[in-house]
Amino acid sequence: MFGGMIRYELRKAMPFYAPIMIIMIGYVLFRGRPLRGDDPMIMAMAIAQGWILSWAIFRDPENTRPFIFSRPFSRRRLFLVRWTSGLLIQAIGLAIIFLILITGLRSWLQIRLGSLYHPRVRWLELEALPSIGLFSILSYEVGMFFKLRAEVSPYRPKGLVRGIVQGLAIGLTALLLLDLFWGFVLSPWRIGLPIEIPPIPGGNPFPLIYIAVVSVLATVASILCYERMEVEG
Amino acid sequence: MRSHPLINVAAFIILLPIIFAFTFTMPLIGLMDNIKGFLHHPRWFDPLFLIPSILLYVTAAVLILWKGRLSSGLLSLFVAFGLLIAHASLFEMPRRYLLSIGSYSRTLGVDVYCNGVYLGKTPLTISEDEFRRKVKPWRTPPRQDIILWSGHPRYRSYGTAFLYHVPHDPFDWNRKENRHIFSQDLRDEIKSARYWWHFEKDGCVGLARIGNFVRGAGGGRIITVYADPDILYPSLKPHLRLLLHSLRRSGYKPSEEWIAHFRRYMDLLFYDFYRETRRDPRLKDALYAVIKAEFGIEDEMSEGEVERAMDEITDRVERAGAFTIPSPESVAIDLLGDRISDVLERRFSDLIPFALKDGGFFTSRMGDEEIITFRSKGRAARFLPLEYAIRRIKPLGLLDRLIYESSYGSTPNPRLIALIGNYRCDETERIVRRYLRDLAGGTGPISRFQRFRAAWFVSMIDNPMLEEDLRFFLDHLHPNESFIEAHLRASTVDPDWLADWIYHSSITDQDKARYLPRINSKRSYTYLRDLIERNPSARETVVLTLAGRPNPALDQLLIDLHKRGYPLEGDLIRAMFLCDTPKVRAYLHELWGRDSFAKLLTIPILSETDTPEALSILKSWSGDPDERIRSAARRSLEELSKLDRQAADLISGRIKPRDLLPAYTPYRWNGRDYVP
Repeated sequence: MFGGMIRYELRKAMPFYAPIMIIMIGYVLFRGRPLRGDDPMIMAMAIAQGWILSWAIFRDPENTRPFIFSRPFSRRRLFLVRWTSGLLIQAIGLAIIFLILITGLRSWLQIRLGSLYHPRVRWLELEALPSIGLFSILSYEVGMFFKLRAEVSPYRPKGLVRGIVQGLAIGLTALLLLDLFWGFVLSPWRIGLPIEIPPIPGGNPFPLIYIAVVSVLATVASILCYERMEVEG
Repeated sequence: MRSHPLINVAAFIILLPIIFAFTFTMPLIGLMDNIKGFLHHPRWFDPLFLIPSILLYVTAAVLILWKGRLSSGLLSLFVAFGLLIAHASLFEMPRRYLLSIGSYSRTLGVDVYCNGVYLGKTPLTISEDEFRRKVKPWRTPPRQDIILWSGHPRYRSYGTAFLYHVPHDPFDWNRKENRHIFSQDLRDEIKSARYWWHFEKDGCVGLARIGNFVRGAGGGRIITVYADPDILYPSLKPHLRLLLHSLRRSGYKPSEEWIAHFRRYMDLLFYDFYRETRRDPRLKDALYAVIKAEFGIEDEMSEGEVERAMDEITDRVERAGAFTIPSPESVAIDLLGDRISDVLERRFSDLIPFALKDGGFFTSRMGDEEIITFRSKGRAARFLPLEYAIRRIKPLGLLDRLIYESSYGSTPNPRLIALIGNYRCDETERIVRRYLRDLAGGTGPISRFQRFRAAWFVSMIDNPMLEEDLRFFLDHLHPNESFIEAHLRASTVDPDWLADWIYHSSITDQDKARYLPRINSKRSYTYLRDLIERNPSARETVVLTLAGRPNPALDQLLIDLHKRGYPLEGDLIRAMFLCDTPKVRAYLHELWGRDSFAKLLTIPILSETDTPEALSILKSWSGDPDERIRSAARRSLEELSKLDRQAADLISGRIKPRDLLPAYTPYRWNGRDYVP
């Protein structure tokens, strides 16, 4: 049963996830300069990947939803299967990039292309992986939470005024997020927090703590949303 | 179905750092800065913006947390933020002023007094409010214990004089005396001055000039005024003379007491002592002994001890927010040498994320030597000594990491390029060449200032394989003093090539006359001879440079100059004596043998040089058949023996450096002028 469920999730997610994954693999293979965790393209693709995956996994076409939700296992279990499937897909994506880097495929291709690539930085490029993983998971968790929250919210947009309110809120938040992303998350990660903190081996812990707290909270809250969702036949 | 509270809490916490913390802490327009501005200078309309904003923030929190209404909550939050932005931008907040003293000076820890009130040690930052609260204005100019006039006393100018109490209102920094300091009467400014500054360092009196007190000011709502007065310590010269005398008498082997004394006054003594090591390289051992004692450097050191020494260096640099070359810290790194390779490799990765955050550099001169000071704040400052060490030591283990860091991005950081350029390997050379090509071609959005800054860093590259490219690039930007200085310091540059480059560059003849004597190459002799023939006024500069920094390759030039009638007095005889090659020694002995006047001219130089060789010549001349020479040599020997006692008293602490000052005439203000 679970095998079938996971296969179903993969089938559902792949048409959306595969294109962005292919773009990312292409970027990893053909990028002429060293890959780094703070590369804006890498981060943007990781965020897009997580967000699209959460949307693809937790959406059900209207005609299949009653069928899925009437299976003989709890909603919590259904959520966990889907959630784990999403994480598994991301882990596979990460493993593919890892393999591209450690097998030397990227180095071989760059040398063939005669780019300015320096093979001796090959192992240092693995530093891009944690960044891809963390941004992907964060956006997956946040995307999942807001999608499921919208399902249970009694204030779903009805009418023009509510639509405008929601549109404005989302637009402004996105703007602020972008600004924050550059000024408070990306730059501090690269150049240090605005506030001096004692040096910790392995770098700045702020993004890690934030991602961990958000992931746990979003998962727990998403389970609650899932349990409260109304499914109409 | 009613939403579960945890769902609302999750939404709130996800948005908390993004929305709330961001709109709270954003500089100038955030809630916190708006409230701070209100508390500092309340205005009647401030509450009209601040109270609704705070209420809207509370509403947003209630809507999201309690009601679960995300869109409405976010919207009220944006309205609150909009109000704050409007408040901050429509009604300009009053400006606040901060005074920063001594942050661009290479001597830190100077005690600062204003109107007799002790304000602290440099680098010192004080707000205008605090300053006005602590310091009460003086109505009349105070008595000056010391005034050192420049030039002839008859044409004395307050603009260039060094004063015991120097007048300046730092929060009125655009005053006349900052704009025109030379050759004008500043008595009106002195009469109206209300704030008088005085400086001391380790108990040594510092004198400062009225002009050049303030370097500049900058900022937005909070403006920082940077004051960096030129401070002169009149006790420094006699103090150093005694220490050098004592050291030479003990065969250049410093005693424990001597080292302890030097360490106590190191901030003041270091640069002048360092300059003396250029004239007399035997002094270097004493300098190294002091630095070793200061940083706990031994010949054999465990890894932990190396780590501790490096900690001490980086801690000092972080406290000062600056790293200077040369400085005790840079010499300590030179002494640690290859032993810090492992420490560098470990710390580089920890610090690189902070390293390139900010920072700048400025240069000053100490005689003919350029002093470079790099500045940064906080943890970024800890990277500065590492950067210097990497350039010197070139640890192999860091090569991959450096290539990785520097080859990322369309315009690599010039600081990283300056680091990798020193490694001799194809990859680094390829990166540097490409960087130079891009920079020279002006590709990408790079300003003239950025290009100049980049050129300054790349000129520090010390790699013979890249010399050709660097020369081409620097010529393209017009050679500048700093580029040439950097190449003069480089250890691997071929001196003949360097002489060619300087001689054929577009700098002035006077500059060529300053740089060419520093190159130990026969070719610089040829070029200098041509230069002097073409432009005789360059002779003085050449001789002055050689008197401060002897160059054995130019011994024949000194002899030629004397033969062609250059006066022997002062710098030429000093330059010849310090040069000390067999050729010049033989020439001097022959000269002294046939011309007793030459001997008389040499005696003050020998007395001032005070080396063992000078002393033995003076001793031999004290029995000279010529009465004038005999008595002059004996007088000099007596003066030197007096120094023995004085030096012993100074080092043992029986007298202080300020006791070495001569009796100066104090000056008082008579209502119109300072009079003795």
